[in-house]
Amino acid sequence: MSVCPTPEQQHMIIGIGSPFGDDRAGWEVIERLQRMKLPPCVRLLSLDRPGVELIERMQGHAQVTLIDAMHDRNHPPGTLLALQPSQLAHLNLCSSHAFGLAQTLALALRLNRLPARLHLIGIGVTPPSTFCPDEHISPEVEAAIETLARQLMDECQTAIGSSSCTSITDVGSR
Amino acid sequence: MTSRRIRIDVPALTRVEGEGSLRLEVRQDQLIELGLSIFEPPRYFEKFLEGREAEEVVDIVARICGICPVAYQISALNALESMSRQMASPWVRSMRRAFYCGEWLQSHALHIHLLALPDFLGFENAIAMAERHPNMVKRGLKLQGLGNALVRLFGGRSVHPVGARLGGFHHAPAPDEVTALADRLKAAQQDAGDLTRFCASLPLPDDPQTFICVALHHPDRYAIESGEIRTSTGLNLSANQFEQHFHETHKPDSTALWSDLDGQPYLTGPLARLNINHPQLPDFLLTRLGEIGLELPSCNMFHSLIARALEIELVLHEAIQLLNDYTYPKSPYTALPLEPGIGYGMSEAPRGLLWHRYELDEKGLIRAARIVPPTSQNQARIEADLHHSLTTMGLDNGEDVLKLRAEQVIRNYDPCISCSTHFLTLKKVET
Repeated sequence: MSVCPTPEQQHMIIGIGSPFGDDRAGWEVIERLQRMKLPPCVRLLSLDRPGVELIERMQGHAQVTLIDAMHDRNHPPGTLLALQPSQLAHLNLCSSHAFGLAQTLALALRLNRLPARLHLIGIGVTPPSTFCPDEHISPEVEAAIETLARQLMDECQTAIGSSSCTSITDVGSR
Repeated sequence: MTSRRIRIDVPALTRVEGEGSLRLEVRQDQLIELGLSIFEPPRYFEKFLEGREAEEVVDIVARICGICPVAYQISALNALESMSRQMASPWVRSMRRAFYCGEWLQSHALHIHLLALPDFLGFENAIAMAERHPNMVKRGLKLQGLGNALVRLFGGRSVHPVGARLGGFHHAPAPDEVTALADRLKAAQQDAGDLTRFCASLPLPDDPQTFICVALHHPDRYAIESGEIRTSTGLNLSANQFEQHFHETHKPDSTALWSDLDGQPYLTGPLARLNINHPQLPDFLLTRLGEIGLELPSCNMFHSLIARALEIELVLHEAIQLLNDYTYPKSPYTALPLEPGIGYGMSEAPRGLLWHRYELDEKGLIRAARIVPPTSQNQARIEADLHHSLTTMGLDNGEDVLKLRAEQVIRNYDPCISCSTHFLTLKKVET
């Protein structure tokens, strides 16, 4: 019988997104993982543009994997990239609505509130041109979502043999 | 001759729900041009709402704003439920106020700590400020987190909550969850008091201006989730009279609509609320006003910072009272049949008055929707403030000084383009 681990022993996987087209990628990964049989030490969470609330949501977890859509001209839609927080461009997002992931992680670092093991996975997307909630996910991103979900599942299952969920390695790029 | 052009340019980015720019041109120390342009997306949502079932509105409007979804939900519910012969239960009305307190708490805590304080403590942004003042930033995150927890208690989640519905809530929280959160809120009251004292101790610019204040007023309590419009010019208006006095117009340099009150710019938001409703503050906050020496009504827009801190103390107090009196209801909602017609509703979003109007057809579908958010209402006032503040300060000041003051002025209104970083790009043009 599985024992419910303490938060410190849990591996929290967080999908960040919004309802707009490819920006749903992080949520979709979480939805796929929810349908898979994951070890009890893995906790899943979908967040809608959490801003600095992300710092609070990561608290107490020694290992956190963050999945978010990214846009970069050098990486076409569907690219999967393992990133370091320091690699995130400090975009000049100037809205209280947009205390974005880069700024939030930088703030958490300054406050010494980053989890001991943090993994950041970007899914290359095309930014939505309009605020259209019904916009579909592109086939490239859909495929990347499927690939990443399976890879995370494999990584988590591989970690069952050890006392905790070990770190997820670079998921590479498609 | 020297001409200086100052430009604020916030580019459109994924997950940015506001876009704005400021064009400012100074020639020979005279203000030649000043144009504020803010883009807001609710206009699209008004079209999205057409043809939708009335029951769907509350979840759609929650998507308009990532910071104040509760405000959009409650204004919509006030408007739609005005088309019913019945009312939501007293339990629902109390819990909606508690739900809304969570939104004020998280929004104000975010604004003060991450957006405004770096200005007054001399930091480029909150990240830089966190190194020198980590406990201050942690306090902000703690207060914001408590606000989010309160929104989650009723809304299921803190961003774009899904718990509200016509007639009430989908679920009532368990009493032990309510008690646990009330205890956490009580434990934060000391922090909130310290925050008010700290904000009042800052050397805020003293720059009195004349402006009209507009806020909801409720006869029994400090208006948050309901009330009637009261203005500092002496008007008292119900939601269905809004369009008789408040008008929206397009300006050539803005995609958003600009509002006026009988042709005049006006202020909505924390300072306007405090100016109009301060006699209704609980006793401990009336004492606090004396302690910090804040005289109301205030005509110094920089007192908006203190107003937000006081409102944090207010909503903590209110939420604790409401949660202390919590009883688990027989049903968390009342089925409210709606009748065709036009419904008007409003509430006080963290940034100010948020007015909605819906036209409902015989089939219960939305025929037309109109939403007037606080940021568009404040645009004309922000522009008037910039004119006054920069001219009073002296247009012969250095570019960096003008830039910082323009940013601070805009931030006082906490508009959707409100910025945690210093976002002005200054260009000096020699002619």
